[in-house]
Amino acid sequence: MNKLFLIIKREYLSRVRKKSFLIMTIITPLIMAAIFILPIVISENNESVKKVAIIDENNLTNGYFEDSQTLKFNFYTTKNSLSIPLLSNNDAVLIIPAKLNGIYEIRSSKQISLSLKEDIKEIIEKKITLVNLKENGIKPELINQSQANINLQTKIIDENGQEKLSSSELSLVIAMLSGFLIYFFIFMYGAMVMRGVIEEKTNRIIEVMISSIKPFQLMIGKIVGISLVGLTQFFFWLIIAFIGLSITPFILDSGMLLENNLKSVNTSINILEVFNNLPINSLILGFIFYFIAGYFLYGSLFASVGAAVDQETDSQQFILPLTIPLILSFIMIQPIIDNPHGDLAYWFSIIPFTSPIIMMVRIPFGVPFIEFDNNINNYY
Amino acid sequence: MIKAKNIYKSYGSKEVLKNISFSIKPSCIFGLLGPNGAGKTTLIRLINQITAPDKGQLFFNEENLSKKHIQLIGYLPEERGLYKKMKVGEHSLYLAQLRGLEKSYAKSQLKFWFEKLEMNGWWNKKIEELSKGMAQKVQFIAAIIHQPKLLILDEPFSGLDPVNAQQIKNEILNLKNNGTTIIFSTHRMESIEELCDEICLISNGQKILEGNIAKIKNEFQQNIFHINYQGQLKIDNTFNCIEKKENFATFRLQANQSSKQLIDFVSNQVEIKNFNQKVPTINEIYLNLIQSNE
Repeated sequence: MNKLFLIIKREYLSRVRKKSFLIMTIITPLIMAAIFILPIVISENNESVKKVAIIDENNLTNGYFEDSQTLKFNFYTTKNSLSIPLLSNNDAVLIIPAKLNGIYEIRSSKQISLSLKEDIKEIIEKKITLVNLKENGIKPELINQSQANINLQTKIIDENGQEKLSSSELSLVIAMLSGFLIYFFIFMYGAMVMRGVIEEKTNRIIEVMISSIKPFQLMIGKIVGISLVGLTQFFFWLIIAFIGLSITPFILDSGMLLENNLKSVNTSINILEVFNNLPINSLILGFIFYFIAGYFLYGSLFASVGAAVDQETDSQQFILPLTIPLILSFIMIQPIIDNPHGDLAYWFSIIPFTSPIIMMVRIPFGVPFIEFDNNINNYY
Repeated sequence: MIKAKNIYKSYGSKEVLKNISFSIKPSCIFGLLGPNGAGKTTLIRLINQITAPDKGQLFFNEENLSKKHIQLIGYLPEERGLYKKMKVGEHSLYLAQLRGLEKSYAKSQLKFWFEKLEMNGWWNKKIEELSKGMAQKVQFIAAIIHQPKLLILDEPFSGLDPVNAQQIKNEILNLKNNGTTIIFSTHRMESIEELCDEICLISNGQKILEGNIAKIKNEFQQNIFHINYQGQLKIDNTFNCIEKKENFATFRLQANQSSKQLIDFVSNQVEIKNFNQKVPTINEIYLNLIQSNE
């Protein structure tokens, strides 16, 4: 037992003390954060005001186009206005035909974006629909009154009958993230076990080691030691994530950004309440459990690959069969998010090879505990 | 100390050891000789319990060899290595603790050996900074740190410069004098002659020769005598002279002839300056036996 502890300690410390571990632990969350925050920030700054000149000789569309935050319109009533300077001063020039249902034309010096084209088309269609309705004797006020605008809220009722505000969108993001994270962890640390075994073989220390300890002790020590490295990294990332989440609103105002994004989907959602209603404890416990169980399963298989080959370059063909179930579960993430409580999700959760990723995807959707329990029995 | 009885071992269809038996006396240096692929390393691995024999028995102090004896064995394998990224001191401490030593005791023992083998200042060096010979010294210490009753050394001098080799040689002799039994496997015949008390020669998985070095040499001597002399030596058919130069002659005696007869014969004619019997070296015996075995 004491020797096992020594091996675990060495395997753990020799990896945690490496500079690469420290660098990866700090840099990876930064990269992850950048992946999520940068697109929002860039698209925010990207939305500059587009200038559109409208040439309407018959003055048919007077009052149709109102300036908005992103679009600014200039009216011209003579065709002569169409000139090179006009084209270069505006992002697009819209030419209104002689009849409202004629062919509309956009001219520009550079290819316009799809969204600008869609925006202009939408405005015209909306207005012409109104005109058509008016011509058919329907009052615009009537249409405004009839316009339905509903607010769909999702709530989860727990066993105690308590209502909880939830968000399918947030669950989806968390599900994707945790699925990806556990895939990454199992793969990275599984491969680390394999490299450890190959290292011992290539530098020939294995003969000294197994003349003083049992090979089984060495293998268990290695797998446990490396799993602790993984958990250490996970906890570091949790801490960094919590610190990050609490300070980013002050620096970047990105909390607002996220809230805005969600509001556009569901206007009266309370972001903090939804966050608190996520099964955070289940997520963290689930991650630890599925990481350990999945990693032990894959780690020992990776170790056997390490034992079967002499060099890391030879290991590729043996790794392939191991990665297939992992990649399969990765591909299954999308259909399982679509139906997290269906048969497909259930059966993939029962198979030990796929359950770590699949279960991590399902937990944000409030997976029944009995399945969690089943899985524990599966691993033992 | 160690006894092997009718050991057989195969890897797949290849029979590596065939009916090997030998016994090693306590506090002696036992040389294990044989060409490459003879089965020496397999035999050593059997004693270390890295693998088990297919048939036959091994005894350690008259007891069946078992896991409890591992603590009593020290092993320096031929293909040796260390964790490159670890520091020398940390690594030595790790190996010593795996051998069952208490941390503080292991530390003091390591300090003692580092000093003795002139390795002061290595403690915080990384293994990858060491030369092959330097790493070998670290491994030698790891093999003896727990004061084993049986020490197995597989090619302990490969990669060592003459000074370091001498240092290790002295330590091996010291250990022997303090009661350690040593199994010594090497291809360097001069170190076999220098160190070993007993040898066992195996070839193609079979034992060809075993016994005390002096006895073996005696057994293999061919009654050849060298004489340096002063004067004119006339040779007749009484003795078989196989070589004659100025003031030097070599004779091979028949079974019924004694060296005294030869001395008398020569000293009657000339003044003898030097008279000695040619003793075969282990190298010669080895080559002779291996060639005839093939």
